[in-house]
Amino acid sequence: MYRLFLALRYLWARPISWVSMVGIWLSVMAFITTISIMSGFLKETRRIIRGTTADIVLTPRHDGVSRSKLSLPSFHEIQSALNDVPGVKGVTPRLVRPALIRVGDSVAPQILGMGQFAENQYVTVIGLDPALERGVTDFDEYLAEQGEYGQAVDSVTQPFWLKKVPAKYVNDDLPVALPGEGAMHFFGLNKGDVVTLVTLPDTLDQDNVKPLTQRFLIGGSVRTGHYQFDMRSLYVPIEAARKFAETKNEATELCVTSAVSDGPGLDATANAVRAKLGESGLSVFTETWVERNRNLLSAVENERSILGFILFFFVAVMSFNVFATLTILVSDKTKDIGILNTLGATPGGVLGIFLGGGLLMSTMAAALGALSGVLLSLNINHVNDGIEKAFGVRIFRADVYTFDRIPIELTPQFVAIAFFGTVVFALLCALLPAVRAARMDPVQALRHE
Amino acid sequence: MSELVLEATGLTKSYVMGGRALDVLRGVDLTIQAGESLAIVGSSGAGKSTLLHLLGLLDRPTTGKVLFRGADVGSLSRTARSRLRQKHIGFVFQFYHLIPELNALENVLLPLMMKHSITSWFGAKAKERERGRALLRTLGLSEREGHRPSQLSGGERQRVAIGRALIGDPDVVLCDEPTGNLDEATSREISDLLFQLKQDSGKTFVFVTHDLDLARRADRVVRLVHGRVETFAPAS
Repeated sequence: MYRLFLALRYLWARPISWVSMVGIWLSVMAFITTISIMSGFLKETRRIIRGTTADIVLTPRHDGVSRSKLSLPSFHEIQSALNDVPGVKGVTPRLVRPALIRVGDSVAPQILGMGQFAENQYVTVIGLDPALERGVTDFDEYLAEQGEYGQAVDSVTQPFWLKKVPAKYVNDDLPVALPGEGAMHFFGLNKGDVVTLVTLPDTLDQDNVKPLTQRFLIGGSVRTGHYQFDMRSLYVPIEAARKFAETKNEATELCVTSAVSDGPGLDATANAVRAKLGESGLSVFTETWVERNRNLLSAVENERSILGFILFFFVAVMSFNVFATLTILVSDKTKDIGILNTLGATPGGVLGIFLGGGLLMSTMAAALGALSGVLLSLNINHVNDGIEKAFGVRIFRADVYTFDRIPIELTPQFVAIAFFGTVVFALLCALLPAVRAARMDPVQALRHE
Repeated sequence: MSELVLEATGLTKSYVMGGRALDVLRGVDLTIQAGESLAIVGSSGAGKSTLLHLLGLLDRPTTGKVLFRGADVGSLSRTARSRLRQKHIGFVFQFYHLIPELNALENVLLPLMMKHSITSWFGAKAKERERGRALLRTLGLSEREGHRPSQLSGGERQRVAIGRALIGDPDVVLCDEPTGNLDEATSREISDLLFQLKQDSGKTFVFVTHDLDLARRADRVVRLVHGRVETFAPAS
């Protein structure tokens, strides 16, 4: 009993122990909050990439083929080959094409004269078949979900259809395009507007560099939640995309949906697809969405690991405060150690007082740190808004990152690791001064001045 | 014949200081009977406190033996000696040696807390606190139980220290210059109190002292001269 009692009294009476505890508290809070945000970033990045990329993407194989002749085998051939592959839920074709965009119904000459601003006019045209996409990709969800700048399509089942075509274009029979929500906002588009897209043909030679143009009616917007993706994408019917690009290719990529969309299950499906396509003599490059975005995912994961590593040392340095505090305490209390020996305190008992002190300090500080870290993580967006309101500074900016809110991924396991890790580390720091106290010679301790 | 509580045979204690051996005790033979009061006198540096530390199992002799109730404690581990001390020996020091963070009652209760685990303490807390309060009343400190050592006079601090030495009901109380830091009147008060307690409790008291008035009141007085014990009869 006396160990806990004395440990509490000794720590209570010393401001340095409170300072140490505040240090541990803040470091644990920072550790939990930062890792929660970074895990949230990773999770959100994966979710968005996952949402904008099919589980498995089949593209033309590069090796030994000249770029101009790159093409996929027939969609139906691949579809029937993959029909009985375990894990494959469906296949859908997409025709992806880079293009320049011009708001209005004519190609103005300044497009080519825009210099460094030309990149702002760049979009990725994605041609798809909504009926084939249904149940295979998340395209229907992107149509249904609209944000601040979105404009819903007139029919989710027939998204490339506009109820009220402006009188001016009624007779033009223009295909419908659905820009990403960000592009809609960036180009100042509204439903019923017309945009002109410009691209280049599949093959180019010195005598024929003729751009291809096509006007599209804006039929509403699409929201994937991936800020940059929504800034640059424009969905059109796949037939319209083929016509616009004057291509004979059925698709530039085929999206395969797997029953398991992540982890070993996805890899197994991808391997089965590779094997089946190989057996069928279909030469296709097969990538999962994780493989396709490996660099980005690895970068975020790496950033999280580095931050975790740095913050771990921050917590470790703060835990060393326990060592410093207890070393000072043992030095101050040398005479008391002698007195306690005369009263019958065993070396183990003296060890317990100072180790108990370290345990009390670290447990209380780490518990406060864990609690405040969890609360801060859960309310980080309110804090961000509050800081902006109070100081006019926005710490998290959606236009810099790809999300509109700070993402958080808080797991009880991580909070437990942060808490127990800190306590154990602090206890190890407390061990040295505590052992010194326990080994003190009672007579020398009594004579200490 | 009364029982021997403590016995020292051929005790020597040497320290090495500045590269030279300093023999503080040079063969002390001493027996202490249960219930007696023994005063150990001697000039400063004669080894009185060293002898008390050896008798109190705080230190180990260079050679010789200390027997507690007939058993040699030399081979006991530090932990076993601590437990023996906790159960059977109380200490009173010249400079009180109270824990400054604790009040008078908490200082007195500390030896009792050592005997309890956390759970057993909460069961026995009320009873033990009452025991501590009763002892403080006996010592004339009932109004001072909540006061920290820094808020007490020298005499009051020594009373608290005496209370702390007695609360665990030890067999022997070892007092190292218990009046050495007090004025004459307070010294007298503390001496009276110690002998009154000795008489009431029948415990064994060993005093190491310069105070011949206190020594004269003991049942027996020995003098340490050049590290050896001599029988001594102080002039009245």
